[in-house]
Amino acid sequence: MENTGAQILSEAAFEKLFRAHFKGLCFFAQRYVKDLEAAREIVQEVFVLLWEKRSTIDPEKSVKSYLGTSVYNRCLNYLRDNKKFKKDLLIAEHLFTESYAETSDFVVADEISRAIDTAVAELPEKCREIFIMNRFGQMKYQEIANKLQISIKTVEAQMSKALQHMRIRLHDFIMLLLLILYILKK
Amino acid sequence: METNQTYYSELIHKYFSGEVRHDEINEISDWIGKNENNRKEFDEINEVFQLFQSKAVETVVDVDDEWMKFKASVSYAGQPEQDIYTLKPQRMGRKLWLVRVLQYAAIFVLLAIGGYFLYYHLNRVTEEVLTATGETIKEALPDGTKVTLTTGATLSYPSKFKDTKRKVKLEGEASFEVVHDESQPFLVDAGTVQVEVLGTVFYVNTNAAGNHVEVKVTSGSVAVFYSENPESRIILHAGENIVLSKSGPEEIVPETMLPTVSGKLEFDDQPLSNIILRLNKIYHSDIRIEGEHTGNCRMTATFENQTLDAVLNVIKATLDVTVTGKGKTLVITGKGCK
Repeated sequence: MENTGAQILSEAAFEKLFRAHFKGLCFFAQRYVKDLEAAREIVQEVFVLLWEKRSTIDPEKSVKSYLGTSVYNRCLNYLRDNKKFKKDLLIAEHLFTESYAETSDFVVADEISRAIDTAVAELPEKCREIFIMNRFGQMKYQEIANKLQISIKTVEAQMSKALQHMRIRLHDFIMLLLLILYILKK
Repeated sequence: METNQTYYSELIHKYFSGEVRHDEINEISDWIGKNENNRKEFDEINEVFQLFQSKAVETVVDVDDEWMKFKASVSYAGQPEQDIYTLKPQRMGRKLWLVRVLQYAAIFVLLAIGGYFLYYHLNRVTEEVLTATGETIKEALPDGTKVTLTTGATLSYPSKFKDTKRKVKLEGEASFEVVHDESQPFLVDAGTVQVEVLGTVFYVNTNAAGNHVEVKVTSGSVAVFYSENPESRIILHAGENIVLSKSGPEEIVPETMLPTVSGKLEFDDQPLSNIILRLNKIYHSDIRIEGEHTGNCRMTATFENQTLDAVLNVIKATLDVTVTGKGKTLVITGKGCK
């Protein structure tokens, strides 16, 4: 009752916030956990937590950094719990100190999206199937091996083959992306 | 070198796919720390994966869907219950209500039955019997009183002392160390003779030679009386003992069984018959009472290390009786009391 109305997030404001940040946070989280499904769950949990605390949070100021910090902490916990926490690697990936605020301007340019589609289409059929299952179907190597009745080694080899091809085909875009990021940061 | 490079590229692919084990993470970490080329390889694979991932997030994650999921999870946790109830048909609610009531009723009935049995079990008084068959046994009674039974003795007592007196029944020889409790005197039922105490150490033998009951007091005091005449009590103090005939107050106790007394002799509103009985035992005397009602006269007196003459003088003066005879063979006569 003592709270000033301005400080309580209305449901409409909350939905707006949710829609604005959900994907960005998922992208942020998957960089740590390397698993889009786990990332999605972490972001859901963080929003549920924010909802429960919505009366104590100033919507003007801290929501974005609150969300980023919460996701960051949960991701590190996830890595720790799954015995995949390695500080050196997180530093190498520029993830150890990076905040969500810096990586949040997440957009995928249509050109890049189309370039990926083209490169995927160029892959041999079996290889393409496996690559799509893994990268866009969010299936684990083991799940793919089970579904296609092949060994996990075969899945690994096919994935490697696909990724080598994609790297070559997308090389220019990677360079371009790095350049854009460099300009934006300046 | 070439195969090595492929091996690590595959390992890094696995890493970004979330497929590596803990030891492989360490392997990658070591490898990229070795030189700048390795580091570049790692960065490039990272970049290409981020391209895929940005597209994956864009295509796989459906924000409308996520919002629905979010609303579902917070509505269970945070929405007023009313909202959930209205979703359920009324009839279903009533059925659940009935099931809930029956569940509680069942729990209540089970608890009541369990409670009743527990209460019954805890409060049930059973008769316990102790018998010293081969050797002397020591046992504690429910109130903490210690009892030592000599071979052949049998003691019966309730598993719980719930009556106004802690009553035990003895046949044979036993010593007691009674826990003090004024509100609940300890009573030894030795057949015709009863011994009542508040808290003391004493000895009872219901099978003393010549059909007698013997009581010895080590500490404290006890009251000894015949079951048929509980009003006539003989108070025994520490160091005193008494031998009573089982068949009744009239019978004279044989001299060989007479006890010696030391210390106080206390009569608390006792009839003369009892006093004389007591004196006969203590002083090894043969005093008889003549006159139908003389024995009924009551008196209260305390004697400490007195001669029999001195005691008799007090009795004469108090009850207005005459004492005739010689030595320890005496006759008391008086007008009698009602």
